[in-house]
Amino acid sequence: MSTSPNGTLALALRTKADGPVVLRESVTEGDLFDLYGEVWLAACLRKGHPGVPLDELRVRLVPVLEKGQDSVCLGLIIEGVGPDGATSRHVFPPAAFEDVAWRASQKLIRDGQLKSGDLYYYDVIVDRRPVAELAMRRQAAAPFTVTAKPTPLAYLTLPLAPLAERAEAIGDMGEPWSPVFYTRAALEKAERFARRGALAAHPVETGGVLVGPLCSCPDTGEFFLVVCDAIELLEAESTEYSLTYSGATWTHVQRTLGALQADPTTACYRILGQAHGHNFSPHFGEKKCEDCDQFATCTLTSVFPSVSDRRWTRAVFARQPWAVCHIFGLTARGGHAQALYGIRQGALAERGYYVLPDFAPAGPTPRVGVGGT
Amino acid sequence: MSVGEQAVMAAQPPGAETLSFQAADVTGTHCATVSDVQRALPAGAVAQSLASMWSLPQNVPWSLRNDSTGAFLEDDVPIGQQVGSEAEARLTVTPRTHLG
Repeated sequence: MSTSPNGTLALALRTKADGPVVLRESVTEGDLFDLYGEVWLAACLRKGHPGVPLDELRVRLVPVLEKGQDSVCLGLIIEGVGPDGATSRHVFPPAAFEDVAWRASQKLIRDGQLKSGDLYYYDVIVDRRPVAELAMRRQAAAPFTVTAKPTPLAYLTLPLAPLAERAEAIGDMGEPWSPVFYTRAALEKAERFARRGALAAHPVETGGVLVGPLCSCPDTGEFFLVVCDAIELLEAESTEYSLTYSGATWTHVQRTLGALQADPTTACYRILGQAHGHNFSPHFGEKKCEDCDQFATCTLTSVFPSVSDRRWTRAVFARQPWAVCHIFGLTARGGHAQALYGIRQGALAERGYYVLPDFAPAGPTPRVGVGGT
Repeated sequence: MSVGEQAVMAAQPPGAETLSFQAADVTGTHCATVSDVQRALPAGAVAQSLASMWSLPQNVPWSLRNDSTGAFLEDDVPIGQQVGSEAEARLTVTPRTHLG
């Protein structure tokens, strides 16, 4: 699938800004899949080729070396060639490898070279050492037989323009994101689930998963998603600052989704993302800003994607670059705030979305296509 | 990276020492029949191997969850003690991480 630089990508970690490198952490194929996914979205899915699986995308990795450096990178360029032969070129900064750095930092903590909360520093490098160790680790990874079953990507073929014409735009629509639509009912449901935890005597985080179809526009080739429903996270483990899906939570989600998929009218529904509430004050319990009265609008909110949110999204939505994370929170004045986040450059970035009064495609039943991830 | 038939690494002959099950990730992006699994293998090791094979992030721990009961398998306990001999056991590879 990929052609790599002459060497392997790795992170070089230091415990002091000008200190020696204390650990080299390999960037694995798994680490790169989110980035490949973004290229796949741009080169195939949004170009009218949703049937092309991610595995069939041809990518080339081009490290952007610092001037005068043999191995330290300013970033990584990933070029993907779509089925139409066009090349989609994406630049990923070192920040796109934060999770790899975090993984390495945990090793340093276990080794006693770093304490929890300590700062650490990293460079993305082209590691030109032999890769025998990595190869051995991969060979030992599967002591059983795994026969994969095809999991084609189901999507609706549906014109985008009629939806956009009757949709209300929410948030910044300046960036060229793949469109996300919510039905008003689904948005209200998601917010209700997310804010339910705010009603507790000691507020906790609550939420739901967002479900609906993926869609491909036959006129423009654009790829988009429509959130049509939300499934509440029942029996989740909630605290003030965390939300953990229990076994019962996952079971409820999967059985509810399974029932939807068994209905011909909602057979294309899948999990598209999740919503949850940051039902805590952005001041972490302290008073308001001193100059609060001077501002008409409070911009200090508890709405932000945490490190945990990013890690959870990467784990649950691996190879799904369209996934969204909706966070409902509070302003420092106690008002409501919210934002939707999508995956960009390996991180969660705020993005706009559209709200539809309903989602009942006019005319013949939309065609269901299948591709593959 | 490949799909379809995956490489067989140190596979065991079928028999009482091994078991099979159906596996998927939580969004159904990956589905597979997993066979020749040594019953003595810790369930957590099986989960981690599947996650690695599917190129899922290795930053988080992975566990197996039994779809019929909803319960997570205990990572340190042999999978053979937690999954019956029925060939149609369905297990979901699930990340053990949380939103924040």
